Amino acid sequence: MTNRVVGSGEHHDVLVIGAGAAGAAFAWRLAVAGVDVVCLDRGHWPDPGAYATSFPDWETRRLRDWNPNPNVRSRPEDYPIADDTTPIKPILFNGIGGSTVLWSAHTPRFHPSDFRVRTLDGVGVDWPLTYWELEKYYDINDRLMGVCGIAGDPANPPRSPRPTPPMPLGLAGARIAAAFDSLGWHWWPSDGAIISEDYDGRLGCNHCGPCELGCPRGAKASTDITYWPKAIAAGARVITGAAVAEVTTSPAGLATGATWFDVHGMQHHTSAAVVVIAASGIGTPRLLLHSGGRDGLANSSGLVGRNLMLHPIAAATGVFAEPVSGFAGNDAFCLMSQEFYETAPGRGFVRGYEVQVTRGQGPLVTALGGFNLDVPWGPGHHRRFEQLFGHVATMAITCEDLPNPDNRVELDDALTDRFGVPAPRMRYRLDANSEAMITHGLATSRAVLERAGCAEVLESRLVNQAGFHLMGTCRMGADEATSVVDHRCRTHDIANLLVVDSSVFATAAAVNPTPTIQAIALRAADLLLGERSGVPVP
Amino acid sequence: MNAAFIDALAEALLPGDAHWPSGAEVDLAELVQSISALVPGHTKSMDELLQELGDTFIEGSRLERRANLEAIERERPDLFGVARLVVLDAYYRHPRVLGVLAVRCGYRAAPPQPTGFPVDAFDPSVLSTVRTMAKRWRDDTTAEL
Repeated sequence: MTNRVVGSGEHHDVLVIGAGAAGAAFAWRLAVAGVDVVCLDRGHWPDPGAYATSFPDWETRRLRDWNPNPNVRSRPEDYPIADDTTPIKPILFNGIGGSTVLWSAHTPRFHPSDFRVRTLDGVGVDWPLTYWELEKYYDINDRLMGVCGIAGDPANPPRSPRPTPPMPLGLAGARIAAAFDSLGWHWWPSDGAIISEDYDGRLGCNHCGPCELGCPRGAKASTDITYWPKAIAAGARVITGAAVAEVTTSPAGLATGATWFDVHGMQHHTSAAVVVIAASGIGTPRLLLHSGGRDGLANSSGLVGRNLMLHPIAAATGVFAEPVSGFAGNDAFCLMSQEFYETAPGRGFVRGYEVQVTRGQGPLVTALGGFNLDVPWGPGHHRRFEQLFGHVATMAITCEDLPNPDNRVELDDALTDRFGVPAPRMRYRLDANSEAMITHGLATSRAVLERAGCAEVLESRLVNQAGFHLMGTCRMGADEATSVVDHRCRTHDIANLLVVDSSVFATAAAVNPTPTIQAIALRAADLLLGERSGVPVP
Repeated sequence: MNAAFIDALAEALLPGDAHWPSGAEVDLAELVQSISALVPGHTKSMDELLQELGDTFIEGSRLERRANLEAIERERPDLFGVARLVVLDAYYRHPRVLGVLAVRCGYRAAPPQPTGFPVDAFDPSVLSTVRTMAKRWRDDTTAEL
């Protein structure tokens, strides 16, 4: 792929900012419909040959240039994020494919009730759309990304046959599944955007383990290998190394395009009839707050950047006496439980959580203590290492985060990126509902792990390096006073400006957001295609 | 940062036993130096650690070294963290240690790709119990399950 700099004067039907999960899906849908679409991304095409999993020092690459935290990774295309005002640190990737390059690819869907939180449970807000309106887009996305799984889950609405079978449970997963059965609690093999068999010209998974370091085999879906090749074949264009600084507007208040810096610091402008932002729950509000006037763009509600939701994650790690080959198999999921997902009385919290069963880590990360292991240095190190390495599985408790306007993304007063554009600052605190959910989730996870035969359970109340679900910062709603975009993802203030990423989530549910992000983006693209003649042109 | 210091540090962090070689036995000096050079500031941190511990650390007994390192861990966790990271990184990549990992833990001593690991395919029969469970999701019109 080449990176061609576009000078001023070039005009497109649609400009998409951000080539990740949402931007790719949106651009693909438009391109196959014959629309002239161009995408700007501050990052570059990933080189699968450079992914860390193929190198002897793969575990330390995770701690350096393949770190999921952009503040640690600190590549030229990364912008800094002020994070000393949040206990949960930001996790994202800048590049074609966006965070799908480094995600772990667990792809559960929202429940129908997740779109009616205010009506059903009296908290948060309702979405201006329903699960049923998204259902066909979930299915399209599953086919395009390529997923594993099996239909029939009693905790979710019926769904179409999965393109490939579930990932193996593995020894620990089988023990934990049996424990759930024994307790009479729900579990189901996870849907995941990893193909368990060859599919769509891609090789099936060979169970190497660390999916979040990039998949050189291409078994894990990332949009650089799924949507983008198809979108480009249909005529879409991608410009890499294009760090967008501002969305520009006409005197009439319509969006006209975007100014951006190339890798040499030269400034450019790309104009378009419709501008679509898909730069993540942090990058999108950052861009809007830095555009327009003092209060930012599309911000008459004052809600751009507000209601940041992150999914607090707690972890319970079970230690099995016998080896369970914890290092083999995709590390981030094999099964999930939604026993405590829907609101129920008597639990001490409203809404709920999902439990995602993950596998173990490699030798170095285990020796260093992993996520919540306890491995001493000095005498006793090797004995403890042998007790843990290949012997553990972790239950990650993903809690629904209720929207709170005080939790937010704003522009930092002092910190900037290398082009002088203000960096975002995250301000975030857990609420009492999340704390109660964590306590409940750790107790139920301990019960499962003990039933599975674990003699020891290690707990972490909050995984700090887990801010990978960045939601809510340009909320969707019907009322322009209490939301930023409408059900079509169109901003209330500017008719030809859309936001299609997880920023638009009205509530967070308790599951990984990516399939919902992509379904919303596909739906927004379809609606734009249907209403194109009605979109004002600057 | 010299070889004698790295040996003393590795011995204190990773004493050997009947199965595992000690950090000093596997001669980590060269690898620790090259790993430290990969991250800005790590070589400087290691040099600063040597300054803090002093030459007596190298000459000290096993108990004295441990006590000195425990003090550093408390008072300079930043320096201790770097030292622990680079020494353990070098150790768990050393061919002799990888050999022990294979024998003791059944772990193939190679990067995850391109080989991956053999894992038994998913067996749908394990779903027989959970398939009998009643519907557990709410429709969007009722607060009840």
